Amino acid sequence: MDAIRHCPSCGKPLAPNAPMGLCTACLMEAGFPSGTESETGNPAQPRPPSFTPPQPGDLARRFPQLEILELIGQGGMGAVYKARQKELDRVVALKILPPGVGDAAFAERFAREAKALARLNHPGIVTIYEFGNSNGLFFFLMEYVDGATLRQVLQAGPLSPREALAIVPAICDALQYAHDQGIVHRDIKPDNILLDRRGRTKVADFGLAKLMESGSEDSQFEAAVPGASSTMTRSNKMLGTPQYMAPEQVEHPTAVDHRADIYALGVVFYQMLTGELPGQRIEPPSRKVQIDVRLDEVVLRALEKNPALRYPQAGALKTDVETIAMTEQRSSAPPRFPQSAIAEHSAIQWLARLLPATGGEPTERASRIQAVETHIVLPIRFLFVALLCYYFFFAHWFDTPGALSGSDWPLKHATMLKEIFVAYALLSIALGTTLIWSRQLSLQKILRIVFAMGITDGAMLGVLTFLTEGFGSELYWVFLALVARNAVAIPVALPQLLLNFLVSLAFLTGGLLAARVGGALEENSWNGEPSERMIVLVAWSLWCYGIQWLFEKQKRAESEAIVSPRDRNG
Amino acid sequence: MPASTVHSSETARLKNYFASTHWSVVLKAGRNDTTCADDALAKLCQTYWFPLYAYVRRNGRSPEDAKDLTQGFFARLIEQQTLANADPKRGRFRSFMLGAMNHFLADEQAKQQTLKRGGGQILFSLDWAAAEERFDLEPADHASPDKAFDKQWAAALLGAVLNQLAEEYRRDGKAKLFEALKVTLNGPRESQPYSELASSLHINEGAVKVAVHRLRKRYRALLQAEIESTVASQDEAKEEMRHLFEVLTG
Repeated sequence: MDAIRHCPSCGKPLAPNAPMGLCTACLMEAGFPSGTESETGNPAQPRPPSFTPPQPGDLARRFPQLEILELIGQGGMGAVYKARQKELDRVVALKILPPGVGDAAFAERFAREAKALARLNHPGIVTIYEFGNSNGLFFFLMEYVDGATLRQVLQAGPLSPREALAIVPAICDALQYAHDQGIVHRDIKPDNILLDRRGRTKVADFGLAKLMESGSEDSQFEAAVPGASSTMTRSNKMLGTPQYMAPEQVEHPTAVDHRADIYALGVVFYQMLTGELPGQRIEPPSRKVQIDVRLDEVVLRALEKNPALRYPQAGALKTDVETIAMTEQRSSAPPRFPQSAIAEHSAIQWLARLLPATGGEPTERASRIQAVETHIVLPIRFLFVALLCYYFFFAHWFDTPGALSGSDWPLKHATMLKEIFVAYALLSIALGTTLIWSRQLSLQKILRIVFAMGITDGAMLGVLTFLTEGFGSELYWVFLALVARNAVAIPVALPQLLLNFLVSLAFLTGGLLAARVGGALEENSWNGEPSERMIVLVAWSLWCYGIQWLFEKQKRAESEAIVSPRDRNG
Repeated sequence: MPASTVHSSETARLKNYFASTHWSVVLKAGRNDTTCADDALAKLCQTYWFPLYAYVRRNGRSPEDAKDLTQGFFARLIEQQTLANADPKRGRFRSFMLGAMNHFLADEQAKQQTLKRGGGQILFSLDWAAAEERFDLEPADHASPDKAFDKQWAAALLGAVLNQLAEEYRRDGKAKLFEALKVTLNGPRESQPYSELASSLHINEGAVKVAVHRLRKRYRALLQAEIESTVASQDEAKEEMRHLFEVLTG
């Protein structure tokens, strides 16, 4: 068996050990779960297509009216050449489908579909000037886009969120327009998104996937042409690039609607933001890169497996993206705009509502609020607690040694505690500032946040001062209680400034009461019994948490009130 | 096909193949010397002996030596001396076998007594003549022996799966259908258009599509199961499949 046989599918020589005469590589490929190819890391990387594009010289004979300049791209669905229309002296793109794609039935469908595609007239869609069949070679003559494909751009390096936010709405526009005409792209991917030198975005190859697919499914190939069918099959495999295919497109390739495009756009969006394709469990992009967390919701909604849960229209996606893009830009400008990135933090949302320009929709989920609060609010709180502790305890006591009469404890431990507090303060400043500035907040806004939180913590410290004057040696406990209180209270939103004051007042009252109790205990010579002191501390903590719990309840009620109108709209 | 001659006598045993031959079962049972593990191991070996043989040949041994060494290797494996050293954490049957074989070869070379151990001992009725023929047919592959081994391994694995699939179809009296449709496993809408398949099978085109879909689905399930039977965990199965695919396409 000297004659080496080739796999009709991938074109590679068949190994003699090929089981049942089938190509091993293709067999293994067929073993991958079809619906999850992208999720399993897509082993089926697009191999170079077996179709060899004709040389520009060969084409020149077929297209005498054109001057074929160069081959600019090739893929499963054909090859694209840069050409010049001699009479018009216009540079165009000539796309040819793989030779021998179809028979008379295909030709008829090609003509029908192409007519529909040629009617698409939109600045975001590559215009089709002409189409036809030149001696069995199907071709499109299209607008030439002087630029690069999004794939090329992405290969050069990741896009900034700002760039991604500029590109996506343009794609949405194009998609919405085409969808309104009843045309579904079905193969949205970075290769089909062109960016010209003027920064415009254009979507290419509308409806080609469907044309090619139905062409191969319903018609017979020209069996007389060896390799014709394999070429077609090859290109067929490339259709609807698995990584960008919506789940329903994998399942029922012929029965997809425009929402498959929205899914694919979601994948492209995800890739633009993170530089990666979404994995099996889609990790919100903001976990991978520093972006507005509201984008998570947009991306994840576009990537919903169930089409009914996706954006119903490309236009809706565009609106969300633009809202985010606009508010993000504004937030770097002077304040009075509540819809900044930091609006994730509910405390800031409440603050923001006091400002004149309210409105917009917080789109974040509770878990994300918590994440943001942990990362932004916690450091700032520590900063304040640390600073206030420092002044309240040390500065005060060091200046008035009389308060410590008969005891030298602070002197013994002061240095160490001071260092701890200062370290906290420095860490908080560094961390908090980095986080806040990376989210492009104005300084004014930062100060507001800091002020709002400082009041609460300051009030609490006042309480603690009362308490600890009676229990000097409990400074450790106080410190621990502070840390614990901050850790626990982080997710708690403190409504408005007014409410903030009320909270502080409540804390103070509780603290005073506790101090009284403590003082009474002390007078009754209970001083020295650690368990009693602990009771007081615990009572105080419970009081604080009780109040916080009430506010939290209110916060939840309010955030539900905010979210629900949006859900109704969605 | 030489591949099928090896397995043609095995079809009956393949019935419960996937239920019992789990590499993890072998691993777990390794130290307890149970007959169940022996049986499972024997079946795994039956499927994957050729890659090992080819590997030994590629290492520059004569056909005779290779035959003896492969037999000896299996003999030792069944004696559980090697299996006792299997580390369940490093879970892949393929890597384990290659490692064990390397170890074995080094050992045997040192001892220079290949014929003593396992020589002439018939453990399995393996088709040695066909093996050599198959080996000769291999294209001169400049890949490393390890990679060549992996390739052979993948082919053996796919062969076992196809045989299992064929056996299932034969059992249901659909041998002809399988013969006609098996090419479709190589890719969607393979060389023959559905309409052609439909007319040759005397069924309509829709029915062909359904049949192809079922065939591919069943094939995927069997392939998954086979791969899972050679690794310790499901995660590894995915990884293994990807690895084999890369080896085959690379």
